[in-house]
Amino acid sequence: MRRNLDIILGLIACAIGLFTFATLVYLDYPYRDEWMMWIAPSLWLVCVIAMYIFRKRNPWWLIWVWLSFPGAFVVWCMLAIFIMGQDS
Amino acid sequence: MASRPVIKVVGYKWLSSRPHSACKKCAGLHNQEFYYHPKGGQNSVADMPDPPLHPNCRCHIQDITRTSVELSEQEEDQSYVEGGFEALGGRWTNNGRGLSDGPVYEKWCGQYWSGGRDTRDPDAIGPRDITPSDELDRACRKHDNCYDMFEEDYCDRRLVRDLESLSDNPNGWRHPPGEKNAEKAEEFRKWAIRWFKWQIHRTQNKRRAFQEELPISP
Repeated sequence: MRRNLDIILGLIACAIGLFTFATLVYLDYPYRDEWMMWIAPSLWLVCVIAMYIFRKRNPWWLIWVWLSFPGAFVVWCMLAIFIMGQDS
Repeated sequence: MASRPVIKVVGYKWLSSRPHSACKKCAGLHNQEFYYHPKGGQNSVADMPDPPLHPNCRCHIQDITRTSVELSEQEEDQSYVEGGFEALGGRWTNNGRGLSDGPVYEKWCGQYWSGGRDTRDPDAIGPRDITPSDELDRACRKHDNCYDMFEEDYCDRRLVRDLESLSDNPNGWRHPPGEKNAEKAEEFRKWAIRWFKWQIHRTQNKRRAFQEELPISP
């Protein structure tokens, strides 16, 4: 368990990213916007930081966790695209 | 969904606060009524100019309301909501729009979004319904019409003022959103205030930069 703590934290971050993306497209529940805006990104960040702190392997082996970044920060990504669309 | 009676705006009455000393245009419009669905002899809302007509104009419009039975919210939504997903109180990528077009709320709130359809797409799905759904939608409609006549910065300031004057509880608005939309309306209102305040700030900065670039006359 302790040997794979970094992998577990990475998987939790991925689950947060997937769930948040699913929230955007399919799910509706109380505090949905708060989750997408603040809670999910904060939890994802905590998991990723903890993963790098407790890592037992080369950081390159943990790069896959960044695939979940657009999921966890989906609302922020949408806002960024919207803002960039205004400037162009 | 069971329908329930609500107050609906069926038109607007033009009022000039000083009809006797008003200009010809304002005096002519004083007490005139404009309807969304005009019957014989009535004026259409489409022909109604939005106040102010000119600087220092003291005209305003008053809602003409009637008690009606609200359409099922779901039916109303489906008429102009086509795909996309909801976030920050608005619907994104609705009706063929992209992420960079931003979110829309009801029929008037959102970039390139007027009357429940995208203004750039003549084939967009939607009824071209111009009746604002609630007070927030009405403020957005006023903002859209303002852009046709005045500078964007002025219209944005007016919108922020209008949105800030609405209470935090949408159920307390003069024309409240449906039960299903109350939370979305409040969320969208907050984001719209933030967004337009930022736009105003950006315009100010651009103006300042432009003025600084101007050559100083000897």
